[in-house]
Amino acid sequence: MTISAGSIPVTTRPRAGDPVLEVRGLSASYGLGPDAVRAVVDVDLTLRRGEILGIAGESGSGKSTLAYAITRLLRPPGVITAGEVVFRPADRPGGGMDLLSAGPAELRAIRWSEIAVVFQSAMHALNPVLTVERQLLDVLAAHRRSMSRQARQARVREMVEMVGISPSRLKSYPHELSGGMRQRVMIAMGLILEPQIVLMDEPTTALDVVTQRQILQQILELRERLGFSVVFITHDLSLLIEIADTIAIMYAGRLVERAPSAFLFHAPRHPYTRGLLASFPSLHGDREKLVGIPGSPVDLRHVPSGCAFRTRCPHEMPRCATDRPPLALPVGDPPSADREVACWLHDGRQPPPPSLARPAPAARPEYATAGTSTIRDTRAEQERS
Amino acid sequence: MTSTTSGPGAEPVLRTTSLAKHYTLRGRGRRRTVRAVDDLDLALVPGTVTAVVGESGSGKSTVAKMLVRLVRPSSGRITLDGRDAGRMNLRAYRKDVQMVFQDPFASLNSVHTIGYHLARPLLNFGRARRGADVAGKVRDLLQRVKLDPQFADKLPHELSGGQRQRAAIARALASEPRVLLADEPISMLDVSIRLGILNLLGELRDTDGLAILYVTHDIASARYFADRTVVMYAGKVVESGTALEVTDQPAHPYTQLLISAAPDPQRIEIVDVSRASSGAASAPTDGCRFRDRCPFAMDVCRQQPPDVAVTPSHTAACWLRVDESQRPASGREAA
Repeated sequence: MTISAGSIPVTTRPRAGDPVLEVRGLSASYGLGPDAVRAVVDVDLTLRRGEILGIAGESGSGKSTLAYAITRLLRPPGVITAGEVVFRPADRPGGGMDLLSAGPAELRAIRWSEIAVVFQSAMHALNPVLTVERQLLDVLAAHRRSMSRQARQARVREMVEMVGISPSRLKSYPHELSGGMRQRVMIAMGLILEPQIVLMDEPTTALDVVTQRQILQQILELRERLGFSVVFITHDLSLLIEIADTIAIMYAGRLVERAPSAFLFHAPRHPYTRGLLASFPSLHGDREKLVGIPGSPVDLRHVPSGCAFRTRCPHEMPRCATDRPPLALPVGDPPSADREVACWLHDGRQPPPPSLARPAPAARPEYATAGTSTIRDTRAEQERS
Repeated sequence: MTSTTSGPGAEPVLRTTSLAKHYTLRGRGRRRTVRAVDDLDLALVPGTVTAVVGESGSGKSTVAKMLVRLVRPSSGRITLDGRDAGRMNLRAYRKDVQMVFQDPFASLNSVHTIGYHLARPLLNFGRARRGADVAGKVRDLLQRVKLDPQFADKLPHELSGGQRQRAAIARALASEPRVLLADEPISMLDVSIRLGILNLLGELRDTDGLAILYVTHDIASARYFADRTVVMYAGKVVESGTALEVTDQPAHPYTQLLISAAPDPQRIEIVDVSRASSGAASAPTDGCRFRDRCPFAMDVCRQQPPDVAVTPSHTAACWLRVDESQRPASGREAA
């Protein structure tokens, strides 16, 4: 079953909107008992087919732990304490399987073949004493036992070409490749079994901007051709806004806001999201003094009561210290807005500050122009109608 | 001395002339010279921030290391107030030129308190005498970087990344330097606290008249924070000008590429950078070093382009800026 990538017509790709991965109430901790550090708390997420779902957060926000928990790769002392992760394969409509209750054999069948991970540090994720070709062949040898040797070799060549590496580099060892090429090899490894879902944990963080841009282009092109879904984890929100369809923002282990990316960029509703967006100096316009977010990122060992962000928040209210805001549709937004925010400013008891309010309808059609992705544009259409 | 005021237009405090650093690689009979930095003329002016922007392999960190005299230049001169730095006593030189490193997790000693880190340079550079004097000066330093005085008793691991970098800046300030070299001071920090560090450095520039060299890969932060921006590629300066000129009207194709590749949520169209394949590591060492990646490369690019003035304060080293009739005849004309 060596399906060449180019042979899959884009039109048969399942329409975006159909969920392929559903995370419900997922919690993960490091350690047990009262001293446990709760790195992921009660996270709900839906990944749709063909979608790029971005997860942004600072160090200690739990974003990487979330990726490891979803794939059941969390190692002790990390433990998943609650929740379910339902994978809905394209070939089994209706039937989903909970990865958290799956046995080793079931997991083995799904990992890499259906759900692949591209790890952060390509230097450390590749084996330094094996050639790139050998490492790619090993994947096929383990997961595609029925493939002939020649077919495997052909597939490896095809795959490295697809990520923009000349097959002449296949005999190279990882240290002979540049950082960008190693990261491309990692992406080739992730995609070689044609998974339905690819989790990428800071895949471009250590790379130069030009290389980063090339790799992002490559990911977008491959998604068009192969139709996989991506969970893209990064601290760089400015990058996500360009490539993701939907963005979820994490703070202190919880989701604090989720929205289509153009909406998140033009009208953030959570003070933390707004602060993050204001932390990236712009390449255009007047030079204005920016302040970032006061204070330090939260220490998961000492999370404030109520809303974890309140100690850095310019809009703190007495209620924020006692009650934790739930992640919910902001009061006043139509359900079609497809966004959630965990902030008491949006519970309808008081008008939210203008900077975090829902923009007037006249201003909203502008959102659509910000997006380049078709999924995003369709959703913007829906919002307007 | 000269009447050094601060701000743009003042007399430079630290200057480099034709500064170069070449490394020779030996192995298996092959000898190769890596020209990490070539022909660098740089002037750091009191009360201004000069950003050096480039990718990995551009030589930007080597520049900072030569300026703080951790790396000996292969050729060229560094002058501090007109005096040849190579002939100056190292301690006297470093009293005026201090450095802040990229990684605040590695640049502080984990077994010593923050107070110890600050007291050492105060004593070494004779800025405080042993005794009650030191504790007071340590407190002052912490205050200048907006850390609570109680941080003096803490160990590095008790601090967040941003707090550590503030402590590292306080340590650099202990000798009361006039030049501060900051090598990627925010790239290891969380996004939300980066601006706090840049704003702090900006205040030190304004209140103390520090000449700051800001080495970075992030051209947007240079636009935000720097007065002048110098763009380096494979060891050579390709463009320099005021920070706004360089980012808003980039004149060199490499600067244009850097800007088009930077994350930018306001971008409407997707830019195609697929042509610009290889990195600085394999760049040619003669002529224009960017020509292999340049979409406008011509035969004449085999020769070193001159620095052409775009505006009085803005220059770019590119043959495209030279009138065709003024370009030297290249050996082989393109068909």
